[in-house]
Amino acid sequence: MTKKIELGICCGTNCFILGGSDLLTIEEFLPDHLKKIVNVKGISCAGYCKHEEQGKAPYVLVNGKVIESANINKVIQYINNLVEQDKNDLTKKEG
Amino acid sequence: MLVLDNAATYIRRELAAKLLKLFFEDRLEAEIDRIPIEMYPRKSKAIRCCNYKDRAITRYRIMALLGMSLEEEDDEIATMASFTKTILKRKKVKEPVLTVIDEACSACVKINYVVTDICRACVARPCENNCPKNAITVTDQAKIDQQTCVNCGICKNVCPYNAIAYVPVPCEEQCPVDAISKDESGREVIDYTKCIYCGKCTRACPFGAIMERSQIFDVAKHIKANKEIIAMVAPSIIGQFPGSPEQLSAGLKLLGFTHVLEVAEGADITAKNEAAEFIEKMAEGEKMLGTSCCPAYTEAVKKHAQEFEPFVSHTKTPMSFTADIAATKYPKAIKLFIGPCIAKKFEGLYDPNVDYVLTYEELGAFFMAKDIDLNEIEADNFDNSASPFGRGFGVAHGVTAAVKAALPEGTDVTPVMIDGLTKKGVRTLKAYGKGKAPGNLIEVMSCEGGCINGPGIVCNPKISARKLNKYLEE
Repeated sequence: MTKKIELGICCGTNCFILGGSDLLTIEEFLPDHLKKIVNVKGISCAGYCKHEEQGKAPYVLVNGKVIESANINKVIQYINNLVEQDKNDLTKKEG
Repeated sequence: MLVLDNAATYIRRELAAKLLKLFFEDRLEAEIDRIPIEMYPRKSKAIRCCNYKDRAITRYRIMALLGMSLEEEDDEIATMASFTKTILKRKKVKEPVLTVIDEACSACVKINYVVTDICRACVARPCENNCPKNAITVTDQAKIDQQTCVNCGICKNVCPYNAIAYVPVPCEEQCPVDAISKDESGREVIDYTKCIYCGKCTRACPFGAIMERSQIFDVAKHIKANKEIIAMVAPSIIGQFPGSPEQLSAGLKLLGFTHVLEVAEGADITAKNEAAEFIEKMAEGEKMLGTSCCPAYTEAVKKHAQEFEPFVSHTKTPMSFTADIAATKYPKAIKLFIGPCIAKKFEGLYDPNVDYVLTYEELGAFFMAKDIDLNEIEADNFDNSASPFGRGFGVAHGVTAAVKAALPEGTDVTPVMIDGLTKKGVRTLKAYGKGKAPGNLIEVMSCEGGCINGPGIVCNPKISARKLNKYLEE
């Protein structure tokens, strides 16, 4: 059983206006196998947009890891990779 | 439906925020000419053919954000710094509300049908045989003669291989009234005798070549001068921004607006008057009453569906009623309407009580420029209040619900809605005008789903609708 994934979407003014509101619809686009394990919530501004070297708004946090210039596809792909990795780790352990 | 979640949208929003930030920090004149180069430095990856073209177009984009009409540009050497001086002296906003960046227009296809590599130059050749203009010849593949083709599309329909593709011109496709078309050079021009200012073309163009002439600087200069400004916010603003509606009101005051009025109060008055007008019209034996609050639709009636004109309600719009209230309460103040709408920019030009009109997108640029985090600020109330019906005006069927609620019980009313003024919607409107309406109370919204899906929104309509409905239930 894969562990839960916490997906935080930044709802600071900057992120919200530059695509964050669209990211909030991500649940509709999650494939079924992810729907059960991903918990989507809006989070308040953590100030990533104040530092240009960290990339561009909108930002999301996946289990605490920051993704910049986030869009729905990018986030889903990232989560899928996480899940795959988890599975691989598990097989290795059992093997 | 328009999809606003794209790079052209975000470039526009970021650029507006950047300009305003520079202005509030007194650096606009000194730094404005650096912006295009900073955005596209010499060794960065170009979006268009080269960085120099990207820069040139950024200049034009900035001019539109300064509120200029690019069609009137007469000095290509003038610095943008010199433009800022001129626009900050501007007293009145003028028509037209839109402008085309001809350099950005990619001059999309003139003929919408293209033969693809799927074509096998078959023996049957139905394309060639069925073309009414003999515009198709087949050698290795079918070829459409650009001069003779009339875009009828028969070739596409008859091809057994689906080898002929329909390539739309997005702005022309979205324009409900055929007001935008190519000039001799292939670039798009707007015919303002036909345009209804719905703004669909501005958001449809994948090159962002059509822009509204912004009034952000007309407003910003008054903010900087600490003038008394009344912000009148359209009902659909609930749900547009992060935070609660009361935090939004507080945010508007932090920006420098003296009072914040909900246009929903004006919407309540519109609904009440429209209900009274409905009863009167029905008693006179009229067939129906059309709503009056959507300016793109009322303009479409004037220019393209005169058959429907006798049925349009004479009741003023919620913006207009609210501006009346503001003018009585704050006679000396500057009055600003903020909504999701480009057509309101046109309506505002002719309303004596409305000085400026901004979209939510433009308001968002102010919040970004002033670094106001709406989630984190103390709430503050609006300076007026309204019923849930007035607040629901910006969602399709909301106007109908409000008018119905204002009618006495038992009134014989059959509501019908034209939800989205597309090319088909305009034809429907004409048909209704000829007496073919399947009801007697006709609500028309230029934007599908209502104002919450307008060209000037910042929030995904699904999210804002959810927030708005939740607020109305409370």
